[in-house]
Amino acid sequence: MGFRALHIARSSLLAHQSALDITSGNIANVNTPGYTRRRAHFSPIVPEPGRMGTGVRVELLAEFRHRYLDTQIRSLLSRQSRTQADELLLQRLVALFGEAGQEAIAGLFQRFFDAVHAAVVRPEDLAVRELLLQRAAELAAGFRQLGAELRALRAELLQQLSERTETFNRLLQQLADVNAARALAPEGSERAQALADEQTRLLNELARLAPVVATVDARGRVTVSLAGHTLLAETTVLPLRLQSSVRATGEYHAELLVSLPAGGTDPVLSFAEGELGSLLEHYNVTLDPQEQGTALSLPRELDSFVAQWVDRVNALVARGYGLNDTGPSPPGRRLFEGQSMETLRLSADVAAAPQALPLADRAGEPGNSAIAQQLLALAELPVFAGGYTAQGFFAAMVTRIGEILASAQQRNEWLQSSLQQLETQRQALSGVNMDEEAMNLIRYQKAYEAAARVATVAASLLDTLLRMGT
Amino acid sequence: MRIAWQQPFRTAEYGLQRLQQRLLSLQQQLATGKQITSPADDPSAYSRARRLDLLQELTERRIQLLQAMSQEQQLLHTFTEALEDTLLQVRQLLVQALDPKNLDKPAFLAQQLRQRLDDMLALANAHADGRYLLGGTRTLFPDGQGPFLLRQELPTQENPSGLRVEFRGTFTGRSLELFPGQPEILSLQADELFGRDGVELFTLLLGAYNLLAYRADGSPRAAEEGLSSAERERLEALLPQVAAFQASLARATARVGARQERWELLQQQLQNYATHLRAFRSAAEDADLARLAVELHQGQTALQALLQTSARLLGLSLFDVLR
Repeated sequence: MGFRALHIARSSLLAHQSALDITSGNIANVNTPGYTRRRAHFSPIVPEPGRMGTGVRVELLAEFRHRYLDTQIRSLLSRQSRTQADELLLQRLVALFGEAGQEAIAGLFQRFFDAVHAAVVRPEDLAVRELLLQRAAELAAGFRQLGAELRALRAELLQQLSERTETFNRLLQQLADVNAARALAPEGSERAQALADEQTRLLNELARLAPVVATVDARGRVTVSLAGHTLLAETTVLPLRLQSSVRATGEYHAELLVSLPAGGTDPVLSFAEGELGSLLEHYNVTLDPQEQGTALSLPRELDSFVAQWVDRVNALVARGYGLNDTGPSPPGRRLFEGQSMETLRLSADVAAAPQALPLADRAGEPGNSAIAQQLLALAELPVFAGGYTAQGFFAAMVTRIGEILASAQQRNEWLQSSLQQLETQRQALSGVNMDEEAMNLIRYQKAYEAAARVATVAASLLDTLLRMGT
Repeated sequence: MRIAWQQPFRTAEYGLQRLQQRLLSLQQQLATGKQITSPADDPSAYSRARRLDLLQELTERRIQLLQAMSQEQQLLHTFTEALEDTLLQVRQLLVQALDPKNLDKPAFLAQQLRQRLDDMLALANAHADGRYLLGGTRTLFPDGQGPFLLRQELPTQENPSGLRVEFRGTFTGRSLELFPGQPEILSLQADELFGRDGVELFTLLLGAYNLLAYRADGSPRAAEEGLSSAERERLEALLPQVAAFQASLARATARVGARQERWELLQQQLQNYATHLRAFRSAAEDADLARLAVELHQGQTALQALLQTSARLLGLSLFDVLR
C-alpha cells in the first residue's frame, strides 16, 4: 500500500509541476503577440483491474484557438494594411501639392497672373516684362520640380514593392519550415502549440502584405494561396517574383508573378488588398504618367494640363508683337516650351529678351496690352481639363486627393475599430489572464503541497513498517 | 466575458491614441486658426474655400486695376485742365491782338503766343510712369521725345515761320478689359483733343502765330507794325475755331472726370464684394475658437479620466496581494 501511495504522490507531484510550468509559461508570454494560452489537462491514470487510485497525469494541453476569428482578423489586416498604405501615400501627395497661396503650383500661378496683371497696366515697362518672364520661369520650374518629385515617388514605390516581395517570400519560407516541424510534433504537445502560434503570427504578417487564404490540415500544416494560386503546400514554396516593365503604350507596369519550378509561363497574380495591393495600384495607376485607364493618374492629368496650358498661352502669344517688332505679321514667338511637367521651360524666343515678349496685338504700339489682357483673362477662363480655370484645376485636384484621403482615413478608423473588436474576442478566448494564472498558481501549488504531504505520510508509514522488523 | 490581461491595456492604448489624435488635431486648428488644416479634414469645405480664394484673388486684381486706371484718369484730368487754361490764354492773346489799343503789338503778342504754343506742346507730351499719356497706344519713342514734335521746315508764303507740328502716336485708345468682353478706354486720343490728325489745333495756332509775326508776303513783321484789315479779318475768323477746341477740351475733361467717378464707385463696390468674400471664406475655413476651446477642454478632461482610471485598473492584480 505504501509503495503505491508513493507512486500516486509522485505522479501528482509531476503532474502539478507540469501544470506550474505551463502557468509560468502563460505568465511569461502574457505580452507575446499571437500567443494562445495553454491549460494543463489532468486525467487519472486508469488503474489495472483490481487496483484503485493509480495517480494522475497531464495528458495534453488544452487548445484555446478559434480558426474563424483568426481568418477574420487576417482579412481585416489585409484591408487595413491596404488602407494605411493608401493613406501614407495620399498624405505625401497632399503635402506635395501644398496649400494654396504657398510655394506650391497654385501659388506660382497666382504670382504669374499678378505679373501679367502688372504687364497689362504697364506693358511698355521693361522691369514689369522682366518680372513676368521671371514668374513664368518660376512656374515652369515649379512644374518640373513637381514632375521630378512624382517620378521619385514612383521609383520609391517600386523599391518598396521589391522589398515587400522579398519579405513575403521570406515569410512563406518560414511557414514552410514551421510546416515541416509541425508534422513531427505530437498533437497537443507544447511544441505543437508553439508552432501553431508561430503559424498564426507569420500568417498575420503575410496578410498585412497581401490577402492570403490559409487552410490547416489535420496534421496542423498550413496551405497558403493568393488570388487563386497556391504558394505554399506542406514544405513546397512557390515564391513571388516582381516584374516591372514599360509597355508599348509607354505605361509603367509592375506585376507579381508566381515562380513555377518547372518553367512555363508564370501566372500573374491579381489582387487589391494588403500593402502590396496598394503599392501595385499606385505604381501602375496613380503615379503612372501614361496610364490608359480612367482612374486617377496624377502625372497623366498634370501632363495633360501642362500641354493644354502651353498650347493656350503660346497660341495667344504667337499673335502678339514685342516692343521692337515692326513687321506686318507677328513674329510668332512662344512663352513656354514643352508638353509635360518635366519638359516645361521658358521659351528661348523670349527667355533673355523682355522687350521681345509679345504683349501687344499690333506692331509699334508699346502701350498696347491686348495680348497681356488675353493672358490675364486665362485666369478666369474655365478651359482646362474639361471646364476648370488653371488655378481651379489644382484646387480641384487637391480636393480630389483630399476626398480619397478622407475616405481612406474613415475606412482605416472603421477597420481599426473592427479589428479591435475581433482582437477583444480573440483575447477573451486565447489571451492570458494574470489573475486567473495567479489562482492557478495557488491551486497547483496547494495540490503539489498536498501530494508532497501524501508522499511524506507514505514514507512515514513505510518507516513504521521497517521499524516493526527491528 | 473572460477578460485577458492584454485587453485593458489595449483598450487604454486605443483610447489614448484616439484622444491624443483628437487633441493634436484641435491643437493644430487652434495654432493655425483654421478649421481645415488638411484637404482631407473636409474636402467640400476645402474646395469651397479655394473657390472663394480664387474669386477674392480676381476681385483684388480688379480693384488694383481700377486703382491704376483711376490714377491715370487723375493725371489726364490734371493735364486736360492745364490745356484748357493754356488755350484760354491763347484766346485772350488773340482777342488782345484784335483790340484797337494793341494795334502796334502784333510782334510782341506773337512771341507770347509762341510761348503758349510751346506750353501746350509740353502738356500734349505729358508723361507719367515712363510713358506718354496722349500718344494713344504708342507710349514710348526711341528718340526719347514725345508724340508731338515741333518741326522747323523751309518757310513758304503760306507758312512763313516754317513751323509744323507732327503727331507720331496712334489714334487707338488704350483699353483694359476689367471684365471679360467689356473693354474700358483709359486714354484720351490726340484727335479727340486736338482735331484732325491730332494736330489741327496746333496748325490753327501756328497760323495765328504766322499772322501776327509775319507780313502777307512772308517777311518778318517789324516791331510796332500793326495788322492790315485783311489780316485782322483772318485773325478774327480764327476765334470761333479756338472756342470750338476749348469746348472740345472741356468735354474731354468732363469725360475723364465721369470715368474716374464711375471707376471709383465700381472700386468701392468691388471692395464691399471682397469683404463679403473674406467673410464667406472665413466661415468655410476658419476655426471657431470658442467651440475649439470647449472641445479642447472636453478632450483634456477625457484624457485625464482615461489616464487616471487606466493607472488604477492596470496596476491591480492578484499578484499584488499574494504574500
